[in-house]
Amino acid sequence: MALEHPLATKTTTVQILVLSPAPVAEPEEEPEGEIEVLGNYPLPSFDPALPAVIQIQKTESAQPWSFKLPPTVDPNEDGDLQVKVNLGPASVFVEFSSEDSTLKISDLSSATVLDGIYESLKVTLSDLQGSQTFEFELHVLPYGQGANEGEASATQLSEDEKKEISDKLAKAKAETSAESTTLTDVAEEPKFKIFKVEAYGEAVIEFTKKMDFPGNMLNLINLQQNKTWENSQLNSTNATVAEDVDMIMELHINTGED
Amino acid sequence: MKFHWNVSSIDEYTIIVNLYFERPIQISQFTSRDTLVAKLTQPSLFRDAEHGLEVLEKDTVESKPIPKQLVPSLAATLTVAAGKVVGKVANYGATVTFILNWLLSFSLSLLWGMINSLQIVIHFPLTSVVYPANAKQFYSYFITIATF
Repeated sequence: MALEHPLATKTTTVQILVLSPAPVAEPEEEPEGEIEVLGNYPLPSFDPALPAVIQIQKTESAQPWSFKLPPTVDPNEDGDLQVKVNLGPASVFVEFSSEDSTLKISDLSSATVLDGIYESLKVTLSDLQGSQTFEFELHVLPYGQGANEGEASATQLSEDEKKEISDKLAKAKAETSAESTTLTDVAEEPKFKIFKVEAYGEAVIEFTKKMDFPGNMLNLINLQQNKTWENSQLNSTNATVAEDVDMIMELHINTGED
Repeated sequence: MKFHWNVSSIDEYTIIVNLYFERPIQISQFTSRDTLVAKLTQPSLFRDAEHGLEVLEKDTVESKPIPKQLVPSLAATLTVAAGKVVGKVANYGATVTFILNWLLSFSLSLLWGMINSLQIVIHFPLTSVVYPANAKQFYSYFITIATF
């Protein structure tokens, strides 16, 4: 009988199981321009769909306005569905109430409600599975234009119209991306600098290139700034930026050190 | 440091901002200057007219030292407005006098005398003395004349 030395090493056989990847079917030749979907996770959405354009008509007399977002659908029911809204410059006069998912304007006749087209406003629906962002436009028509003053109309596009628009967008995007590769070689992004600050409190901000500002830019910046200033006065703080205002431009002072 | 501001005008290349300080006398009151910091928080609204390109993300913050501020008053407003005009007129006047003297072969000693005196005066701010905002404003006009 062979005695086993206590210090003798024991040999253990470890089997390493190498799992070969599942056979992947050779991808079929797909027509150019189509997108291959790698995964399909059901994400929260609206039912019915969120309108692409929300149109508001300004009024002469004080009148409130509200627009309730469509009901949300959480396909997995895997967590609390959160709705976040980024109103961009329109945050000056539009408020979003998360309790009842409603966009609200307290007074349509107010001077703070600036007419114009507010693009790329975003609604993000997020649950534990992921999040999905929807974009819409807000068209604020001046008083006297349009048929129904004070009424908001949400443009709901038909399937054909949606397809037509998406085709146009895809085409435009393809053209833009083709152009942008050549443009970035030549064109430089504009830069800005504070050219001078005068002793009488005037600051000149200068851009290196000719800019294309939205028509109501001056009013938008001033309205945001006034709102911020009022908030900071109410809160008795030195804050120059309010949390609920989506600022376009911020200014603050850094104190010089001796 | 409490202040508020608004934009007084916008054109294709510039944005003019008016700053209203609660205590203007406290701005840059010692040797080192306070700085104004501007930040474009939504670069997508700042696009160039030709290609529609946004202001560079990394360049959206810019700062500049602030000079001593005049206390807002009617006198200050008038001084600034008049100073700009007088400075330019004096500058052109000195140039014209120089040309006339040279053409008419008059003596330039009076003109040189004035410029010499001014050149001494405009070096005063180099001394280690804190000058008030209105004095600095006048020096800036003298510099315009002396460096015609």
